[in-house]
Amino acid sequence: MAGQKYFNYENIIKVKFLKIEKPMIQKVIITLVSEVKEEETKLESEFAVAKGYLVKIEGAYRVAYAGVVMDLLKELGIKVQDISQKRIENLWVLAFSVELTKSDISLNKLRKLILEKTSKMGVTVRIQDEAIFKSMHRV
Amino acid sequence: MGISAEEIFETIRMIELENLDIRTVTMGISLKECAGGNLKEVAEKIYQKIYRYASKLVSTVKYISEDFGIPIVNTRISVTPVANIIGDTTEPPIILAEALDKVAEEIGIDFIGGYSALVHKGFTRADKLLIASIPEALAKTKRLCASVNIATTRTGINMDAVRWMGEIIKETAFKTASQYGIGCCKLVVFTNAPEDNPFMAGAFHGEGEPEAVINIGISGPGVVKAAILRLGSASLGEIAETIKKTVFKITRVGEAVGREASKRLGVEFGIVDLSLAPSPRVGDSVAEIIEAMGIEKCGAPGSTAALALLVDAVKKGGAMASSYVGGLSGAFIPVSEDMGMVEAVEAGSLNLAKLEAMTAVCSLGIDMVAIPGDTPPETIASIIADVSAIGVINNKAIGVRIIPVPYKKPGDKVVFGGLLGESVIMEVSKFNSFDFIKRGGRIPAPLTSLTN
Repeated sequence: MAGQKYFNYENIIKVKFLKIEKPMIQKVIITLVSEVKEEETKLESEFAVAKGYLVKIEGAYRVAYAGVVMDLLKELGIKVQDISQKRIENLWVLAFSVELTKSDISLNKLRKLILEKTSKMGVTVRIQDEAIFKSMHRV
Repeated sequence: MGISAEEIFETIRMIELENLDIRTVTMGISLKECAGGNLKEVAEKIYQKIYRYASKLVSTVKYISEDFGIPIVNTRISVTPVANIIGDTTEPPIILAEALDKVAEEIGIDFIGGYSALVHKGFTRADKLLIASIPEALAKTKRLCASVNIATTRTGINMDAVRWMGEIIKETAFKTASQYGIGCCKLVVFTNAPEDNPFMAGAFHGEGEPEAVINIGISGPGVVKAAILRLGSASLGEIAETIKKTVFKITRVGEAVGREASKRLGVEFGIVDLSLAPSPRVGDSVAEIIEAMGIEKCGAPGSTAALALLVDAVKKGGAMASSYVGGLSGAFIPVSEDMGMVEAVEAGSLNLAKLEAMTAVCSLGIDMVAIPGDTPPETIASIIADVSAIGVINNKAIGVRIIPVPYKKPGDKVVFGGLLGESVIMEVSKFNSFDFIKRGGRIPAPLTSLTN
């Protein structure tokens, strides 16, 4: 009977799972967190972002970390909207804002690739949906 | 408008330096339909139903934690109080305890709560069977949590239950003596127990709850403490404002996680519990928040006022951030789970009497307090009665989770491990209240007007 079928829990679960669709544009924040290190050699580099300006990053290890992520995103055809950096107490934080469109790879795949590339760098990497920041800071 | 760099960095600071996390995603599951038949049949139905609803709980929570970049410490399940579903059996329902523990282990959750009975006005036959089986059930299981509601503001205090729980706690401690009486860490004696509490050991899926629900328990004492320290010599009014704003943000994370879990699991979203839950990690302590306000050591004069300010500001900030607030909502002061509290006990600034005073202005009462193993059951019952009276008169949820650690004396150290932490055995009054406890009966419900 149709009524009974509807209330079968497994059917409800299936319907709910199918309803989750990939949004048209998913905004994602990638952050790299590292302890501030002593610099042996001075190095600086500029990285272009989609907004049309250059972001200067100073310090050999910082440039290296940013380069790894930028290269990977370029390879995947994902444009970086913005890059920000800040020292918080003894930590250096580098944040990339990127937009994934429906044709790009999934967030999970992107996470896997970035974690692979950065696994030996000794940094903490987070690839977060922008929604959590909005939810937290905006009324 | 896109998110600003400052908002990103503030979030990262909270996670990396101030221990921001979600303490628990708890799925409440009704087991009402599992009642009927013999205990073996009930156990089988319980296992099947929980498995059907929650088999994807742990993996879903893991993915949400990754997507949002927010640590989620525990995944838990709460179920209908087991005393309500054991039917007309005359056997102790240990087989149900084992079924709950088994399914919890297979699904991979941290705790399962609901081995519970609500006896605030009196016992049913099933309640008696369940309560009598608690010591054995907790000794035989790892993840199972039990609770007994012995009083409400509307009914008063069931002193027969209070007296019996003193004995049950002692028995539970001795049945798990090899692990410092750890069974008692999973047993709460409640007053005004909320039906949608996501925190253990007192979580159960209440009578008015839907088929299944997702409840969230937030954390974040470290974030609040850091925010207060950044204020420097601000007034207490400014501190309250800052706590409100900070807790608003913490709660919003909980709300977002809860809604996402609800969507992905196809289960209704229930509530966010606003309690600031500490953990044994350094810098994740409610005691340290009190000390950050200018109290030399938690427990010193002024601690109750500081805690009252904190709890009120937490509620004000959190209520604005979540569409549905529930559970225990306040601030927890579990001694062994909060390094700052343990240090205060060691330093001699915090004792049982001061804890009882503090409990009048926060949730959960005397929590995770280790006392000497030779404490008489009547004295434990008297402590329960005192805390319960605070809850009944003030119309608030409150509980007692006390561990009479076998063979330990005041000042000895015990380690429970994990989130349960470690503690120093606290001194209990040498004076007895045996005759008071032996009277039994019920303390009538209080007047709720003429409140002085």
